[in-house]
Amino acid sequence: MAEQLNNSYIHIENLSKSFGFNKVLDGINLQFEKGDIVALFGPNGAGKTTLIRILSTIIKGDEGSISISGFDIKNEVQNIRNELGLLSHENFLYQNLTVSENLIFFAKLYKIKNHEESISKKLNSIGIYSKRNELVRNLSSGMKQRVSVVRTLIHDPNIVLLDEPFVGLDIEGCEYLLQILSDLKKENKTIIVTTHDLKLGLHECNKVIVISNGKIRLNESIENIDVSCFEGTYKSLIANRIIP
Amino acid sequence: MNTLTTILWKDIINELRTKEILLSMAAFSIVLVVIFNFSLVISKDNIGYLVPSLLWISIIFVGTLGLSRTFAIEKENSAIIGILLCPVDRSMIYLSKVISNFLYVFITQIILLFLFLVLFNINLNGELGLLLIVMILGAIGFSSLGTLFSTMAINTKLRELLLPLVLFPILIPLIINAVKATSIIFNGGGYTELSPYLKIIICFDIIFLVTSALVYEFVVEES
Amino acid sequence: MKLILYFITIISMLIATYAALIYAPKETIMGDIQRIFYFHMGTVWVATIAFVIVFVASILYLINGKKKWDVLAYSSAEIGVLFITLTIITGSIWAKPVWGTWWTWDPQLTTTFILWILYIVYLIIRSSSGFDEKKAKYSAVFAIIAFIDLPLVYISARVMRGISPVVFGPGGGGIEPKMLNALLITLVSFTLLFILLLIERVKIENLKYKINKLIYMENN
Repeated sequence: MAEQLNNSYIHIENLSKSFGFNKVLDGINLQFEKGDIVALFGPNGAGKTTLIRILSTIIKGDEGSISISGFDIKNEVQNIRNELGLLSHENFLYQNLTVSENLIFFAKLYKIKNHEESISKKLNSIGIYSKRNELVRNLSSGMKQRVSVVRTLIHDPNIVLLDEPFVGLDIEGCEYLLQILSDLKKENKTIIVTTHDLKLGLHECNKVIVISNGKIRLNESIENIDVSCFEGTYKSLIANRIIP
Repeated sequence: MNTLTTILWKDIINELRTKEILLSMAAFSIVLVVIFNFSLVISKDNIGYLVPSLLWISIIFVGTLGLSRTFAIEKENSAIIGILLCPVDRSMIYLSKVISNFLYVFITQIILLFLFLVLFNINLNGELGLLLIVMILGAIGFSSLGTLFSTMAINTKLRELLLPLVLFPILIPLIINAVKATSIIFNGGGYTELSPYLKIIICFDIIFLVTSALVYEFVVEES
Repeated sequence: MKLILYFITIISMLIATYAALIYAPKETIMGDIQRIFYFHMGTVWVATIAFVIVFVASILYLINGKKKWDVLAYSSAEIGVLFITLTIITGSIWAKPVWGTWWTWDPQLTTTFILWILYIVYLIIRSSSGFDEKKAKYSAVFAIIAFIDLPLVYISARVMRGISPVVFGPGGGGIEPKMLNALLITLVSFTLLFILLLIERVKIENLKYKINKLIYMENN
């Protein structure tokens, strides 16, 4: 039964999800420990985003069970939401509200006490404190991304999910994001990053997972992997028989 | 409870910043009244029968305009997903949207009522209080189902086109009772005459507020 | 098994036809045109149970997400639309010679008409939403709201207008026994007909799903 195996921090068992006839996830089994930094690779349509969305509780799987930090995703979902944060390429912000107003809004929804102080601190640490009274619509996209990161981390989640975070970023943006990942790693957070860019994903992670056509093709620690096959494109992964 | 006030506060600030919803609803109301003025002959005899219908038809058309917009704001940048990620009860999201929509509809009702009373020279004989009660009860029913269906409509291919199609047939019992009640007030009737219609409207409001709050989670979470 | 059902249904429909057209006595006031009312009651009955099934299946679908409930709801709705249309037609045919008009807005007819609209909107929602699951969820939500709404429509119309004239009975309260028999036989046979149609329709829907799935697999 699922309970006995459930020592892991994040435990996914036999997860399946279909959209119409398209079986996007097919019997996924995964386990992660606290502090794991996981790179989730896969071509477009492989199921990465769906998996992240199910983990972040915003959509539901069709079959299978998931437990996070001991909580079952079906019955104790509100507890899980306190533990996770999701960063996506959409910034989930309100255009016509200021940076402060947006962050206070989400802080209140997470029931954070003393949110004013906590927000000021966070804004300061990423250097946008001066912009706190600007409307989000007037910010540059780099700024919006930083605000989005603060929003993701506002409740100090133990698990951070990043869905294709490098898409559409310039070099400065990428560097900023890598810095964030590095900081989170130091705080012993559990991180799952999805990406289809093989080169960017590997920097800090300790586990690599490859998913394609809804199935897990590879699930290894980084020591056991020949990093060179990730240097290229998916052709090399296919050549190495990682993806059929 | 806190969730409710937080989301409501956010919606109010948003609207105060842009005023786009209220302005368009006000503009639409004025246009409708002008059209009625020029296309219909309203005399002392038919005021009590024509005006209530026109009033409520205007309310639901202008109201539907507002409904589409209140949830559209959440879809920009997918901010609604930001809310869904938080540990909030989906029914609270529903209730706060109902209250926002109710405020827009009620303000519209006041504007329309004012326009109708002034431009058609209607004398209410001090029955304004009763009329406001009917307005409020109608607005509650309209907002409760309107919030549910506008969330549904915006998540589908047809978007706002689907909303009137789905909403109006369901609202029929509410509208016919509201029109009848308004008509009674215009013709000088009192509480006793009104009471069966008010009872049905109250019933409608309670039943659909509760039912919609319960099923809202199936509609707001994307599949 | 299905063959038996077909057999029984056909036989009972024949018996019902005989009962309505020949066995039942002629109604004193309206004459022979009243006989169409047996079929009218049959179609109303089917439209109503179809509606109830759409409601119950929709709730079950939202609760446990199994596709079969959605298929049941959809199939039942399609059959329901057909029978509601027949109801309106048979009702109108009856109404013209008896009331002198094809239509009137009394509570019964108003509710029937709104039911027809609600069915059609349900089918429109089904054809418009995109992925199967979303379509199914939204139509289930609509079906639940619509089902609760309908009694309110009836009550509202009742409070505002009068009642339909009495259609059965020799002129006074109660129903004459032979008429009652004819009515009951009609109701039973229409129920069998509904069950038969529903079973077939669900089967077709399941086959459609399998075929579409195979086509999808082929192309990918």
